[in-house]
Amino acid sequence: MIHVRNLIFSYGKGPRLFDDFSWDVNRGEAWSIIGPSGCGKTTLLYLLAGLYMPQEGTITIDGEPIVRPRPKTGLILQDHGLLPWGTVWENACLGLKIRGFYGPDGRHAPLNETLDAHNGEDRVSHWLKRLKIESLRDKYPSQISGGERQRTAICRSLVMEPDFLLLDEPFSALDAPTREDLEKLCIGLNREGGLTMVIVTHNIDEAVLMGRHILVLAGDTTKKPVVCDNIGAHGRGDDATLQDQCHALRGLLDNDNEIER
Amino acid sequence: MKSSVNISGALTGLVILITAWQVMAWAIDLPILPAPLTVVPLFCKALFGELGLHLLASSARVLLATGLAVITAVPIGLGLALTPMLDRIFNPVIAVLYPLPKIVFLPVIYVLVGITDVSKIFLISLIIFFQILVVVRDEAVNLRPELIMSVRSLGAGRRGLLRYVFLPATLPAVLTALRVSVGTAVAVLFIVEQSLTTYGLGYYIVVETYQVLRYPEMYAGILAMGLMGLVFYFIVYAVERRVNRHMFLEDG
Repeated sequence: MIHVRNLIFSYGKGPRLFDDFSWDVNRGEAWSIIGPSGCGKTTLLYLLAGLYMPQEGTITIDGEPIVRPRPKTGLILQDHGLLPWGTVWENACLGLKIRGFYGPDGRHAPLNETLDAHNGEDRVSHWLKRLKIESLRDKYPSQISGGERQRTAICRSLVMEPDFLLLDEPFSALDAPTREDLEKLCIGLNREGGLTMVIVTHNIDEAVLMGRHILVLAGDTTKKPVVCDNIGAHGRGDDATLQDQCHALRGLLDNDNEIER
Repeated sequence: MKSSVNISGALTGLVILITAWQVMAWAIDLPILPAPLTVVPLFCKALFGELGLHLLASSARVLLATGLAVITAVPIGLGLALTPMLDRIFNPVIAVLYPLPKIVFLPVIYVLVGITDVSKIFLISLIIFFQILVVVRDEAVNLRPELIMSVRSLGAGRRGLLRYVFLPATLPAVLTALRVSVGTAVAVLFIVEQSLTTYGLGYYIVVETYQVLRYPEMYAGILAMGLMGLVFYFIVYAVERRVNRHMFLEDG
């Protein structure tokens, strides 16, 4: 589904974050990306989202080269990115409103989507209910908790019916129960809904829990990124397998010395 | 942003002020300070005569100037914020011009444009223009990049960002700037209406009443000008409360 080929990227004249980097993600896979800070995890996510452009090399999704944000890719950030002046409901509707604003032009919205206002509202209601934030629909972001804001952001993405979801440290500011709850939700979306998912995290346990495959990025481009298969992901393995995987991943990262834990 | 000003508060203030005025009028007992008991009935009568026309002319000038300032300052402010190259050149210029009292350019504008309604409205709108320009630019520049990134990922291009992020994000600042600059705008109006005007409260207060010692009528004019400022202030305030509901929440 996603093919990254010979990617080269740096900020301005700074050092290269990616130098001849290639990577493949198949439909329905769940990936974690982990690595030391400054290794380009978030940059890679923004490149996949079409928000940054590669200097050289290509990124294609379903055969289409990515030159702008793709309508069927969802992006969820740690900082939610909710409009402070909109209620939960208005924020959840934002993506559909933007689609309506441009019409189904294939650039800002999928070509074949014909959605009347009523359908759209049903979809938003459905996801608000599923994410258990229905009762908050008239609240503003400043009135709800961090976890509820992140649910709103997730809802806003899912309303758009993405086939590919990118998450940038989405749960790192949340308390443990909320975090587990949302992790389970995402795992469910991947396993039941077949949603292709890439999550960037600096938390080893989260990487092991969420990613069926793990991409370990090194701090510098002289070292090749490592891909590990993680059979224990999504709670499939027992605790011991999970522990082992975490241990193995920690070992890999320790080679790079300065990983945050 | 929480503000303690509301309509009932303003009415209380008004009652206190008028009482103090009445007491002072009794105590001083000079023609230059007629009592509200004389002025208010006169004001109510005059409002449906000459004074009403002066009030209308002044209000029209302020409204036109405000409209002109908003429709020029908002796009220019957003343009600067979205074009870093232009911003680097013009922001230092604006930083110098912003604190200058624009009223000092009055003679220059009069000579260049002539003493007409155009120059008067232009000068008032110049003051509001800079107030709005600066806040719109600042608000737009200081928007969190994450917010812009996530809205772009929802499919918004330049037009979509403008419509769904930049305009709603800067609207509160525009309204606040308007509310704050209403006082200055009315003050400048008072000055510009003193030269070559036939209708306008500044002309009425200075030329038609003050210079011919019609003090009670002069106070009716002052009252009209004060009320005009007050009404504009509360109109903007009411719009602000409606538009920026998220800033006036009871439980933060």
